[in-house]
Amino acid sequence: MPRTDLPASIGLILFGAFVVYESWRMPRFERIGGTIYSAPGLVPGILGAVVALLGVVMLLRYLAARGAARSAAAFAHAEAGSGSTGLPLAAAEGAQAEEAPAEEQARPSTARLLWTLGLTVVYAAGLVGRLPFWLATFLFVFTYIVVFERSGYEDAASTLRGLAFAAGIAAATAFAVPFVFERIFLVNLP
Amino acid sequence: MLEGVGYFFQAIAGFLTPGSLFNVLWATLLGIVVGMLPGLTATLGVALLTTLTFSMPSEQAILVLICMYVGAIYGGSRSAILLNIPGTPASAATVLDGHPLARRGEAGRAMGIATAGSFLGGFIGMVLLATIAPFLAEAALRFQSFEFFWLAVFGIIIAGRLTALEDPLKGWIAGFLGLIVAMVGQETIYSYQRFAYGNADLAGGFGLLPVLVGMFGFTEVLFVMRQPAAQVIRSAVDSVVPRVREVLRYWPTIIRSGVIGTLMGLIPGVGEDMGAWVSYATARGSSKERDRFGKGSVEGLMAAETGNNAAVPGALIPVLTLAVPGSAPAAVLLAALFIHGIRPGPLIMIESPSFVYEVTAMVFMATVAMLVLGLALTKPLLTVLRVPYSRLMPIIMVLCTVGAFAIASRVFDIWVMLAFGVIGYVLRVLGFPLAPLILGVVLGPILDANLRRGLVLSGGSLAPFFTRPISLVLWATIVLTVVLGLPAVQRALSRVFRRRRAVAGAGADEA
Repeated sequence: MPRTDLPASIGLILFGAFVVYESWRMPRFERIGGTIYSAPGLVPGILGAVVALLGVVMLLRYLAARGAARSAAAFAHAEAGSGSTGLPLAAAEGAQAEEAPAEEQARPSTARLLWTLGLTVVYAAGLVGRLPFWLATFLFVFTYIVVFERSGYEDAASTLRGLAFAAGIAAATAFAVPFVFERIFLVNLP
Repeated sequence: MLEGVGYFFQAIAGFLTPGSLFNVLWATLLGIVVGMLPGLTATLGVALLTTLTFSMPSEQAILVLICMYVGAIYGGSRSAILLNIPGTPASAATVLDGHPLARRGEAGRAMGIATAGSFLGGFIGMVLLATIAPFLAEAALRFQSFEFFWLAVFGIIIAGRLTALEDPLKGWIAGFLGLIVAMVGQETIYSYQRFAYGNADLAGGFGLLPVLVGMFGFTEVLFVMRQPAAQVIRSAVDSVVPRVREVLRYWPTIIRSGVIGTLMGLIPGVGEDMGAWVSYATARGSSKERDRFGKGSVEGLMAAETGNNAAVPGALIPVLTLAVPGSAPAAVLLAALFIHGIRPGPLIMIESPSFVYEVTAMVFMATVAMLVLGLALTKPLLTVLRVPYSRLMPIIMVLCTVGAFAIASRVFDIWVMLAFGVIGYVLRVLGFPLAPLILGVVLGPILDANLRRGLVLSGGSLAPFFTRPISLVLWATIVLTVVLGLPAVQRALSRVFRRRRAVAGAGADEA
């Protein structure tokens, strides 16, 4: 069991409990003939309870697995090897075959992830709507490309070329997207 | 039955205009490109095109969407074969035998097999769509609130079970989380605003398309940007056109994979990726060349590609007859049908009987276009794979932002897209599948309304939920699925099967 199952299960239990609590607080409309069965809080309450319950199962499973792993490593290894039916085995093998070459290529980078997240949030939540769409889009695409390609900018010539390319692509996007969406397909843009 | 054939040919004739053919070509080509590029999924492609085709006449819009869907599921095979990365999850099984073939210098042969398999899979699925859908619609006419409630629950349970084979618990949790997401907003009986806290935007609930674009667009971009760029296979591309004899040799596998793929698509929430995996696993189990699987087996590649493309028409069957999506892209199509004023569901064979056959005709056109474009445009499509991610991803994000905004013109929807993109990323990292969650968002209103309506109808009694015949079948299947998904039960079953196989093997050895 992955270690993240512990905080995940606790988070689910808390979330489920929150949903149940909020559902309990919803009005029952008894004054206009409502019963508990037609209450707005019925279904969310049941769903919240199910999620919390499944969270408890996940937590118990994690604790049990951690206990078992600590006691007999060989036993756990044998269990994993036997598998269940042919189908999950095929899927797991497939996943493994896929993972091996991927591991050669990639080391996931948190920095890239955070830059992507940050730039996108600034664009979609901040710039769009406040600036004209084409300007916001140009700034976003240009900044994004430059941030991710700046390692290739070694000298003045390649830097200039890189910036020019980025500006070109950004301009093309800032022109093409509004054009296609608004003129050809008649869709509103922010 | 015969009138169905008549409707089908009528629809084909209707689509043979220059305008329609042009739409078919560009939409399928765009779909292939979307499928090829990691980070772009079929779901996102269909979602973005839904917003674009808002103002097109409805049959043209649906035609375009289906072409994008078919093209995208096929397109993933290109990057699977050449990059060892599935372009869409549906091509994950294609990687296993497609890439080894490419490494042996037979990339063209692999792509030809993949194209032929996809074409045949789509064709088989199309035939099954035309035959099964009318029957299913007729059976569904007998569905009342009780049955629709169980259908919604069944969808969640089976999707959770099959999309997270190693860990169904997480699949079910994802499904129920999706159902809760659908609870936000105004409910149908008293118009009470649930979980809105006075916010007018929240009172409108989370739109399906912004959530989809977030979880299948933004999340994908985040995942792709974590990795460095991939290397394209440097190979002199050999002939792409498949040899007919090679294809026909595996005709039992093709038929079987086509049927399996269609059935996988038919099951709510379980889509093209399971269509590919189950077809692949079944083909390997009954193949005489079992040990070639995983090292460049033509049969394996064909099974995977036939299975995943057969799931496309399969996923359309519940969309049309039950208004329940068979897969994530089908969920977008369902939303698109409603946007264009078409009401799918059991009444469809009564209100507009020709529509099912029109959709069949659309699948046919898309599949043929896919075959033609796939075989003809090998070299040009290769250049697509060389686009660096740093240039592609920001453009995708711009499209996601526009796509989220365009349906209802709400800036709130952009926030929803961003939020669910992050949530989707976190969930996937924690090991939760996203398909059941999306299914939950779609099925939530159905489950809620029908449970409460059913209880009001029965005066609070739970009896009709368990005793009506169709309900009985549904909840019994649910219980069976849950029980079979428990690890303890699975272990016991595998012990039984292993013992039996050992006995059979010993018997065969002696003989």
